[in-house]
Amino acid sequence: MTEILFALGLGDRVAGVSEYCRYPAEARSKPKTGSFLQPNLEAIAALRPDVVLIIRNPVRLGARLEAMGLRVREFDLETMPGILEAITEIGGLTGRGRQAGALRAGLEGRMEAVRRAVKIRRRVVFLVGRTPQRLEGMVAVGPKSYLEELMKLAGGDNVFADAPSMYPKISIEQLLARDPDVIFEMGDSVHDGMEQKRYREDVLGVWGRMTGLRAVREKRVFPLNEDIFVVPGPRFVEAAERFLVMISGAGR
Amino acid sequence: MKRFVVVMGVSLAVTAMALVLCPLVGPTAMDWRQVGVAGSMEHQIFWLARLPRVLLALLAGGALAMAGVLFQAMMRDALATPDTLGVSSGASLGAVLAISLGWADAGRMGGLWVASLSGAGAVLLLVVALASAGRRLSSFTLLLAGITINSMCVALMLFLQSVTTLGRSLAITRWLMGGVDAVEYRTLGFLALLILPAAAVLIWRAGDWNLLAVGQEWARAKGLDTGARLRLGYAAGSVLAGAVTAITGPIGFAGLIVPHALRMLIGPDHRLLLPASFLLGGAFLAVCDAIGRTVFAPAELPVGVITALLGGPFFLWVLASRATIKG
Repeated sequence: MTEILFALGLGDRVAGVSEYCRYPAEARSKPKTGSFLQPNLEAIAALRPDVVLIIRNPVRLGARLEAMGLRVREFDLETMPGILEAITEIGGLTGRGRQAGALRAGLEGRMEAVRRAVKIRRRVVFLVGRTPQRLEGMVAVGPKSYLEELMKLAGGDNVFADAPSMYPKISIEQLLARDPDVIFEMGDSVHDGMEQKRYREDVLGVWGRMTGLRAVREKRVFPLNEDIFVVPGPRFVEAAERFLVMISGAGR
Repeated sequence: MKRFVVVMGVSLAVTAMALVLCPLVGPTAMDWRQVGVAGSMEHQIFWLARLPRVLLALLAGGALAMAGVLFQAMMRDALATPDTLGVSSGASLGAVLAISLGWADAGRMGGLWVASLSGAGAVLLLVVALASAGRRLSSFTLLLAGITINSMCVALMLFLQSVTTLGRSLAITRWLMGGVDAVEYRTLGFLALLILPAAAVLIWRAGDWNLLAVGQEWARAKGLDTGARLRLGYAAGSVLAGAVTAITGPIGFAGLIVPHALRMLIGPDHRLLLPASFLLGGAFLAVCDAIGRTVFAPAELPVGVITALLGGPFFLWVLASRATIKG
C-alpha cells in the first residue's frame, strides 16, 4: 500500500505507515501505526487522515475505523490483478489518475514481457520457512497464493499446487519424492534483515548435502532474502522478472 | 518373574513392529527393491526421511510416557502427566525464550536445550513445592495448579512472541505447531544421550517408586532415602520432558494414554510400568506420526493434533469414570 502511494509520487502526503513498511527508504521515517494483525487504532486516529487505505484483513479493521468516523478504503493485494486494481482505484481517489494509468500500463507491459519470455517451464518449490541449518520445520507455498501466481507467470509450476492448504507444512520426504527442478528459499530472516551473504551461506550449505535432489545437482537452489518477494506492491513485477531469470537460466 | 518376561516380551515385540512397519508407511509410493540402491529416491526417503522420524517418535514418545509414569508416582496421582502438571509448558516457555532471544538463529541446539530443560525443571520444582510440605494435594488442586501454570506460561510465550522480531516470531509459531520431523542423526544421538541414561536410572531404581507411590512416610519407614529419590525424580523428569520438547515442540497428551492403559492392564508395579511405558509410549507416538504424515499428504498434520484428538477424550473419560466412583 505504502509502495503504491510512493510510486504515484504521493510520498509527502503519506501521514503514517505500518510497522512492516520499509520501502522506499523515506517510508521508514513516517509515523508507525501498528501492524497488519495488531493495528494501533489510536495512533491512526491521532494522525487525522483524510482517508485510511488498508489491506483486506482478518481483524475487521475497516469497520472499526469507520466506527471512529474515519473514511476507509480496503484493498485486496493478494493477487496480481488485485494490485493493479488497487493502483487504479488509489489513483482515482487521490487525483493521480494519469500517473496511476501510466504506472499500471508499465507494470502490465512488463508482465506481458515476462509471460512472452518464458521458453521453458520448470517444476518449482518455494519454501517460506525452515529451521536454520536444518531441513526441518519446512513450510512451502501452496495453491492459490500470491507467490504461486508470480512463479507461474515466470514459467514455474508449483510442485505443491495440490496441497490442502495455502502454506502447507512439509517434510524432506515430500521434496525428495516430488524432486523439483528449482528450490526457492526464503528464511524467516527476510523479515529481520539478515545479511544477504550470511543467509546465502546458510542456505547453500544446508542444501548442498542433499545431492539426491535435482535442484541441488543442477545448482538451482536460490536463497531469496529480499522483501520484494513478500511485500505485495508495484515491485511484484520485479519479483516476476527475477523468477524468470532464475527459472529459465542455466543455474547458479 | 514370568509376568515380567511376558510383559517385556510383548512390549519389545510391539515396539520392534512399530520400528519395522512405521518406516513403510508414508505419502510416497515406494519401490522397495530400490531402498538398498544408494542414490535412488527410495534410498534417500527411507534413510533421510522415514527412519530418523520413526526413531525420533520412539524416543520422544517413550520419554514422555515414562515421564508420565514418574510424575504419577511422585505426585501419587494418576492424572499427573507432563501436560497436566504444566511441565511441558515450562519446557516450551524455555524454548520460546531461547528462540526469541536469537539463541537458535544460527541453528545451534545448545541454548534451546538448556532453556527447555531449565523451564521443565523450574515448573516441576514449583509443583512439587506445592505438593510437599507434608500434605498431599488432591487431584483437583494438582490439576488446577497445572492449569494455572499452563496459563502463565502461555501468557509469557505470547508476550515474548509480541516483543521479538517478526522473523523470530514466525520461527516460534512453527516451533509451537510441534511435531516429529525428519531430524539429523546427530540430533537423534544427542537426544538419546540425554534420555537413555535418565530412563535407565529410573528403571534401575524402579522398586523404590513402588514404595514412594504409596507414600513418603511409608517409603522412609522401609529405609528408603526419599529425599534423594525425589531429587532423582525431578532431574530425570526434567530431562525426559525438557529434552523431548526442545526437539519436537509441545506434543499434548503423549504421556497420558499409554501409562494409563498400562496401569489398567498390568497393574501398578513400576518395575514393569516404567520400561513398558517407555517402549509402548514410543510405539504409540510412531504410529500417530505415521498417520499424521499420510492422511493429508502432501501437507502434514502435526503429531500433536493426533495425540490430542485421541488423548483429550481419553482424559475426559478417565475424569468422568473417577467422578462416578467417588461420587
